[in-house]
Parts: sequence; C-alpha cells; structure tokens
Amino acid sequence: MSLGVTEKKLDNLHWPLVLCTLIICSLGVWNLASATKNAPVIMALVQFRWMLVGGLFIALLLLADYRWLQTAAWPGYVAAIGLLAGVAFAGKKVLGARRWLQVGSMQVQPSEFVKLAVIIVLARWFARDETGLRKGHYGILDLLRPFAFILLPVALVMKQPDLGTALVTFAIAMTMVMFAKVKWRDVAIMFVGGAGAAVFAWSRFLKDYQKQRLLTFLNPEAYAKGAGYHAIQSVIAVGSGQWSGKGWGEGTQNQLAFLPEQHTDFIFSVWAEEHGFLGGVVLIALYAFLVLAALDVAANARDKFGSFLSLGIAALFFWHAVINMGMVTGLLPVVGVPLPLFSYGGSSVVADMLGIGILLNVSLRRFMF
Amino acid sequence: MTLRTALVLLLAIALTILESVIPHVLHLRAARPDLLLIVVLYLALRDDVMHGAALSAAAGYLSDLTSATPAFLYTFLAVLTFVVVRTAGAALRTEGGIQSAAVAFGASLGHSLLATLIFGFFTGAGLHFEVAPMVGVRHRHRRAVRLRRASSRGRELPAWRRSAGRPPMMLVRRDADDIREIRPRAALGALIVVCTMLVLVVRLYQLQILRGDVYVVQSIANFRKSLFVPADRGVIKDSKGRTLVDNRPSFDVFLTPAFCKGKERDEVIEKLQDYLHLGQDDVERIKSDYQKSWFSKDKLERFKPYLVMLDIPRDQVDVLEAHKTEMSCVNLIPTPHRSYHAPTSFGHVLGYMSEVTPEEMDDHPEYRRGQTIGRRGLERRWEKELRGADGKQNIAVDAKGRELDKDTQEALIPENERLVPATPGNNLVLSVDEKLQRAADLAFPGRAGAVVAMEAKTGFILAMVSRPSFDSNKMSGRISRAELKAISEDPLKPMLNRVMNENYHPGSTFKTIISFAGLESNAITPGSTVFCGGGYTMGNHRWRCDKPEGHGSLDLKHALSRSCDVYYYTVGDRVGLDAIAEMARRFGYGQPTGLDLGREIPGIVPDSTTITPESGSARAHAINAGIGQGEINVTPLQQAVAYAAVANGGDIVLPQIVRRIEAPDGKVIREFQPQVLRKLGLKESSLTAVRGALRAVVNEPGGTAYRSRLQDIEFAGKTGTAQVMKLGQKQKLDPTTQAYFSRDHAWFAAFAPADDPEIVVVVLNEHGGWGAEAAAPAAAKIVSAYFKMKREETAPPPVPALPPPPPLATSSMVQ
Repeated sequence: MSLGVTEKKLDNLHWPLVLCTLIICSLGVWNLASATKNAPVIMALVQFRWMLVGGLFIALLLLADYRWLQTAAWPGYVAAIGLLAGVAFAGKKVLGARRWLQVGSMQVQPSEFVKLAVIIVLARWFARDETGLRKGHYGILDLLRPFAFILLPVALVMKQPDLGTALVTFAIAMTMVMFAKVKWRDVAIMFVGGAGAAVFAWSRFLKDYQKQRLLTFLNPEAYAKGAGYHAIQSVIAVGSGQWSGKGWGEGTQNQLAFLPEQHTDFIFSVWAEEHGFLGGVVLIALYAFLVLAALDVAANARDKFGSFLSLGIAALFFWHAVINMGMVTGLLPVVGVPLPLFSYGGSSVVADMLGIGILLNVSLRRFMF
Repeated sequence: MTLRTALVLLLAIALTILESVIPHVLHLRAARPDLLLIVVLYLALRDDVMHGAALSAAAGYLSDLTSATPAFLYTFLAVLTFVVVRTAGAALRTEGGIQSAAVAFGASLGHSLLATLIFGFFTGAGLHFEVAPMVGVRHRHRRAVRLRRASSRGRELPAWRRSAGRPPMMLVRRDADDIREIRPRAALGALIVVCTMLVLVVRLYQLQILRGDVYVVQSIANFRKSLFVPADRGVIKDSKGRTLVDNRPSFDVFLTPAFCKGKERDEVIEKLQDYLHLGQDDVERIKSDYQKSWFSKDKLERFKPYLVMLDIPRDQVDVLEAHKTEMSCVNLIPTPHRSYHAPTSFGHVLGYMSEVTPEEMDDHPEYRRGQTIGRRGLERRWEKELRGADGKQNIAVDAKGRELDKDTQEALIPENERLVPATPGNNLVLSVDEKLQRAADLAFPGRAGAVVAMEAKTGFILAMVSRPSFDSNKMSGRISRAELKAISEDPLKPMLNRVMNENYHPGSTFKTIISFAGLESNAITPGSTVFCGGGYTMGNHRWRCDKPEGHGSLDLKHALSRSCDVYYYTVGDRVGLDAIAEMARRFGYGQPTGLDLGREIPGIVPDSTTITPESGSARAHAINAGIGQGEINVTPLQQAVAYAAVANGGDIVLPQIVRRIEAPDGKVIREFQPQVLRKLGLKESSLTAVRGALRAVVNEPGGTAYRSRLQDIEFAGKTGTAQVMKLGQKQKLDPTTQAYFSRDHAWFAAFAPADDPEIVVVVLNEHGGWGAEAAAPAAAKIVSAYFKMKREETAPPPVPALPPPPPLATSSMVQ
C-alpha cells in the first residue's frame, strides 16, 4: 500500500523557512561585501558561490527521503572522525591551529561537518533506542553511550586546538540529550558534573592562550593592548552604531581595520556598526525565527528521527548565533564560533545550508508514511 | 526612549513571545491582539513620529515572520494603523496614560481583525478558534474529524498552516506518543530561544542606545591622531633692533626601540657611535634609555622615539642621511632651537632654555614632553609671551597608524577641524644696547662682579653684565654632566646674577647718601667744615681715616672728592643711625628696586631696631655706616637707582629692561613707559652741593678718580673700596684663593655728563681692590663708549671719498 504523498510537495515546503534563509543569505553577502571592501579577494562573491553550492545540495537533498541518513549515520560519523584525524596529522597550520585540510584548490574545515555528523548519529541513537520506552525516561547511566561518541570528536577538535567548535558541538549534543526524556534531577546532576569537568579541564586541558581569553573576558581593560583588544574594539564597533548605524561601507571600525577578524568571527560587529540597533534587532529576529521554525519542524515531524534531527539543527543554529553574537557584544568570552551564513567560510556555509536542507526535508515529509 | 518605555517594550516583547509559543501549546490560531503592536501604537500616541512609525513597521514585520503571512502584509497594516491612530490620537487629544493604552489596544485589535479578514478572504482560512487540550486520543480524533469536516466543506487550508493538523486518513504515527512528549519541550525550547535572543537585544540596546555616544567617541578616537604644530618662539632684540636671540633648526637624533630589536639594536648603536663620535657614557645612556623604554609598564612606550643626541652638526646630518636605510629605527627630526648671538655677555639678561620637567607639565598641561621652557632672565620672565601657542593638525589613520588617503581624510575629518594653525610668540625689544653691553663686558677688568648702565632720567637699562656668566647656547643645548657639575661647584658661582642677587658693603660710595643725610638734617651745610686728624674716637674705640695723617679741615666738596673717612664718621655720628637708615631707604636701599627680571634681594639697611646689642651700640653702627661699612649691604642695581636719583634731580625711577613687546609682524602690543616711583624732595642746595662734589671726584686734582677722567666728556662719580665680610667656614680654599676672597671690593658709581646727566654707570669689581684702580677706569671706558656711539649715530654718514683724478697723459708734472 502506497503511503505516498497526499498533497503536492511544494505546498508542504516550509516557505517561511526558505524565505528566512534567503533573507539571511542575501544580508550576509551584502554585509560581507562591506566588511571585505578593502580586501584583495572578492570574498562576498566567493561566499555567494558557496551559498549557491549549498542551495544546490539542498535541492538534491530534498529529492531523497531523509531517512536514508539513518543508514548513513555511522559511516558518516566514521568518515568525519577520519577527516578530523587527517587534519590533526596532515592539516595546514594556520595561526597556530590545525583546522584545515587542503583538498585540491579548496580548503575544507572538517569540524563544521563533524557537527552535522554528531547530530545525525545522536538523532539515530535516540530514535532507535528503546530505553526511553522501556523505562519511561533516560537515566544518567543510559546516557553514557551517546556521551562517549560525542566526546570523541569533541576531543579531537579540542586538539586542533579549536575551543569554540568543541564547545558548540558539545552544547548541541547536550541540547539534543535534553530533549530526550531526562528527569530534572538527572539534568541537575549532569550540570554539576559538567561544571566540575570544566574546572578540571581548565587546569589540565586548556592551553595558556585559551585561559588568557577567559581572563581577558572577565576584565578586558586590563589586557586592552593585547588579548582584550578584540573584545574592546568589537564593543566599540557595535556601540558606535547607535540607532541606525553608520551606513553600508561606512563603518570606521571595520573599514580602517580596527576590528580584527571582521569577516569571520566578528562579522556581526560590522553589521551592528553599519546598521545600528534596528539592523541588529532585525538580524536577531531572523535568527530567532530560524530556530523557532526548526523547533516547529521538530514538533511536527513524523518520526522521532526527524524530530531529533530538527532539534539538532535548531540547536546548531541557536548555539552558533547566540555564542557568536554574545561574544561580539562582550557578553561571552572570545571563542572562535562563526555566525551561520554571515561569517565568511565555505565549509561553514555549506554545512549550515545542509542543515537547512535537512530541516526542509523533514518538514516536507511530515505527512509521509 | 526612557527606561519606562523600554521596560514596557520589553514586557510587550515577552508577551509576544508567549503569544508565539502559546499557539503551539493551545493551538490558538486567529485574530489576536498583537501585544507588541499595542505598545508600539501606545508609544505612537506620545513619542516621536519617526520612531513610532519605524517601531510599528518593525513590529509588523516581526508579526509577518512569526505568522508567515505573505511578506509585508502586517508591516503595511501596522504602519497604516500607526498613521490612523496618530491622527486619531491628536484628534482625541490623548497624551499618554491609560487613555492612550486603551486607544492603542483598540487599534491593535481592529488591525488584527482587519488583517485576518483580508487574509482570510484571500486564503479562505476564515476565523476559527481552537482551544484544545494536549493529551487524549479523543482530542486527536476530534480534531481530525473537525478537519475532515472543514476539508469536506471544500475549503482548502494552505498546507503549511495545517501543521497542527492530521491527514484526513485516520492513521496513527508510529511514535506518536514520543513526539507528543517533544511538543512541550519544544515549546519550552522556543521560550528559551526567545528569551535568549531578547537578552541579546537588550545588550544591543545597552551598547548602542544607552552607551552609544561613548562608543562613537571612542571609535573616532581610534582613527583620529593629533599632531602638534610647534609655534615659533618670539625673538629678543636690543634697542636698535639687533637680534640677540632667535631660532634656528637643530637636527636631533631619535631612536624608536620597537623597530630594532636584539642584534639589530646593537648594530645600530655601534653605527651611531661611529657616525656621531659618541663617547662611552653617551653609549651607556642610550642603552639604558632603550632598556627603560622596552621594559616600561606602558606597552606602547617602545613605540615612542626617545632622544639620542641633540643638535648634531651639519656634517653628521649628512652622514646619517646617507646611511638612513641601514638604521630604520633612527629618525632625524629638525626641531627649532634657540640661538643666542652673544651667549656669554647676555647670559644673565636673557637666560637659557631647558627641557620642561614632569612637575611643570602637571601645572601647565599645554607643555608636552621634550619641549623647552625658559630658565632665568627674560626667557623665563616672558615665557608666556615668547612661547606663543602650538597648533594642531588632525589626521585620520588606520589601525596600523598609517595616514589614510586624501579622500578618506576629507570624509572623516571635517574641514574646520583639520588644522589649527600655530600662533607664533611675540618679540621683545629691550632697552639694552648690544654694542654698549659688549663694551661693558670688554671694559670690565675683574674676575667677578657686575656692571649696570642705566638711563638716568628714565630708568631704562642700557647694559647689564654679571661676571662670571654662562654660555646660554651651551646651557640650552648639549652640555655634559661634568660641565654642569663644574658650574655648580665653581666657587665664583657663575649662575649668580650679581647685579640684583648679590649684595656688598657699599664702602665710600655710601658717603653720597650720608652727605644728603647730613645736609637735609642740617647737621652740615655745603660750606661747613670738619677737621680730620687721621682718626675718630668714640669711647675707647678709634676709627682710622684712610689717610693716616689726616686731611685737615675739609668742607663737603673736598671731603667727598678726597673721600675723607673722618668727615663722614663725624657726619654719621651727628646724624644718627636711624636718620641714615631713613635716608638710605628713601634712596631705595633695603628693598628691591622693582626690576621685572626675576628674583631680587633687598639688601640690608640697619637701624636701631634691627641691630643687636652684641654687635655694638647704635652710635658705633652709625659711625661705621658713615663710610658704608658695618651692616649695610647693597646691590649694584640699588646703587644705580640711587645714583640716578642724584643725577636726575631727585626722582627714584623704576629700572626696566623691556621697551616694548611686538607681534611677529612688528605691530606694537605693549609699550613700557618710564616710571618715577617717588620723588625724593631733596633741597636744591643739597643736590647742587653733592653733584658738584661728585664732579670734583673725577675732574679736579685730588679727586680719587682724577686719573680716570675723560678728555671729551665731563662725568661725575664716586669711588668705593669696601672691606669684605669674613668668609663662611663652609668652603675650604687654598691660600691664594683665600687671599683673593679677603680682598676689598672695588666700586665706582658714575653719571655723565656731569651737568644734565643722561647715563648712570655702576661698576662693582668683586675683590678687585681699590675702587679708583679697579672700577673707575672701566666706568670711564663705558661712559666714553656710550658717547662715542651716540655721536656715531647722530653724525651724518661719511661721504665716500672720490678717487684721485687720473694724471693727464700729456702733461708732465715737474716737482
């Protein structure tokens, strides 16, 4: 019996999500054009090209049922781990970190795709696992196994070293875990355990400059000429935007190179400086809508796998946006986390678009059985 | 936007969040008052139109996003509603408060209904309320049934709006229960998401709206750099307009530590040592300054250039320029430098310049590190006038400190802020004549002492020499530590301005004053005589006359011209200490003269209240004072003023050295007029008698200064030979130096011409010996020089002689 689609597919497509993505992408390219106005390479066009590639992937992805991802979960995971290992040993060293793999003429950042791999694997695990149904909830011991296969890529990413990506991957995974039936008491225990682990990590695993970043965050003025420079300049850039910003391409902080990393991690400063409070609120609203739409997809997915996938993607966008914008406005310490579809970076763009594609896929097939 | 409105807005946003989340939970779909819109419209009734319109458009757009209506429908409606409400509000005259809130609520409700009607018309959704509990299969069934009914009615719900619905077929999802579990968590997640995003919005508000101004200032401060445009310091000219001190460029060598580190640093210092012929202690100094700069607390200190060598000669400039590329951290900066044309003879008059100290910079913030400030003399007294005001040049730089291109500069820095031109300092024109000063300096024979030449009637100083002096150029420029040490330890104290800051017993020059004291109190008359037998007794003490045999009977004229001590012991005794003191003070002794050139000591005039019994009786003091010994101490400047009073007929003038202050273009800013401080009110007969006597000192045989008389000019004056006070025990000196320091001081005070005097000259030759020998000739030379210069100035220019006619070719001259 054919449990096929009963309505025309395109009607089912989550158009608001598509529209939102398009708006964010276009604003992103426009903003990048300003941020990289004086750069030798036309980065905005490169970013646009990657967005087209991402769009193509989405179109292709939509043709297939997302459930094949369940089958592809573990191989994908292994491949991702393999790439990470490849980076750790054969990666290009940029600014003291090995994060990139040179593939032909392109540079690939595997950690971006690892996030997706972790999401897919976790979604698969939660979808298949019977523990929830059996016991009614997940205890801490039950969560040990998913924990394990979260920790492996996180540890590899930490080794690069890339504290930001590791943190975000971990946060996404934890968010997904929260959505499984876990008792509040267990959540509290995990929190405390996490805090303890953080303290432990501080003393043993964090590199000096990473510790420095946290200290700088707590007191940026003390490190104003050195490590605190980023944070202070970013806040100046954001603050000087005032109501409506200085206008496209007129932001003195980014145009005169007072803002380091302005086309990657601090891209939001450029936006805030040039478009002010109004622009900032619009962008935050767009990201908020994106995440809410993803949650909406999760709530209406047809199976647990789809639900958890969407939850993972929602968490992906949420944590990226919040940590990046928090960092740029001085609420959080400086960790290298890109702003989805705004920060320059092919791997990040493609990974995010794939995430959108998964969301659209899940939403498209919510009536299919 | 006030805090209150911000909070209200916040609350509204929170409610909007809830209204976004609640539909998920309660399946509420329909016309609902947009709470955000309500607040916006409320604000519209009281706030700025532009803000209100923008906010309502934003709220509308947010509505659009969350409701997924066709783009901009709500936005358009929101702005429309805003306009309507604003007009209505004006008509209703609501001004905030409950009224406005009510109007706003009504407007929002109306707007929502309107929107849903329009929207419903286009899509057929219509109005339907659905409040359904979460759990229960029955509900699910109910809902499915309802939908089926709806669809069977032929109305098509847009597919994506049916997210809460089930397909017409009654199929149960495999993991329906688990998914149902996810819904409340998703809703909770949504709440958390919106709350977090709200926190970000609030942070943005804090940074951009509340603190925006501060950050704008900081962002400007980032790219704006101020360069100082130094002002030209004013020049000082003499009375004839000759420049005494002006400015010339000096090439100073600077080093920036940050640009050469480690090995390169050592190489550079070695090269500098070679090219600039530096000594070892200079190299040490450069190295230690480098270290200090590098390890300073201020991390930017190493980017600031520090001084390596000041004012290097032209040939070294060329060498450094040639090797510039090898030493990237070395800079050659031309800075204006003071140039003194007659450095030693004008030392004390002009002063010198040195680097401003940190304490002075605290008190005067207009001074920057490395700038110079005037020390001593006129440079110090008129620092403000001479300095002018520095200008400022504002340029725009990027993060690396590089200047931006012209177009960007013009865009970033408005025209009127780009350059504040420097105001050059004003020039001083002195009353001093450079030629006379030089003549005085040449004429003075002693190792130490002072010369003052002053206009008798006006008090304007024509020459002022204090010896030993210092080299102003050297003091302002490169002077080694050893040289400075030598100066401060020199027992002759070259930094001391003896004209007004050192006092001496006046010796016989004081007899002039005693004469007036006697004449005015009628203790003597011009014709009365006193017998000098070679000594004067009071009690068991005998004061000797300088001529042991005695002068015999003398009148005033002879007593003064021969400088008989006994005559003046007598007068002093007759007049009494207090009367002497009173006359002395009238003549300006015992107090500063008022010359505006810095600190001036008052000298000492003893009277019965100031003397101590151990030092002797008042009578004894009076007798000593009679010949200018005892406790009386005067400065050469006071002597000049006193003798000018005698010369000009009884006016105590204010000594001045600056004639006028001029702007750089020559315009007179301030002109100084001669000032008579007070009139002595002396009897005409006294003046005539004393002046006649002083004339006799020089021009009549028997006068102590007869040998110094001039052929062409008759000048008057008085010699003085003052016994020296005992030297303090602080200094240990060798016997020859000791002998020098116990010799008498030689005085000569002159005015010329003898009738209708123009100039007063006072010469003090410290430890010079006898006044007639060691001071009078110098004074005569100076007087002579003065009148010679005067003649040369007024004489017509000499006609150049015609060349002799060529001999005629044909004639032969027979001698």
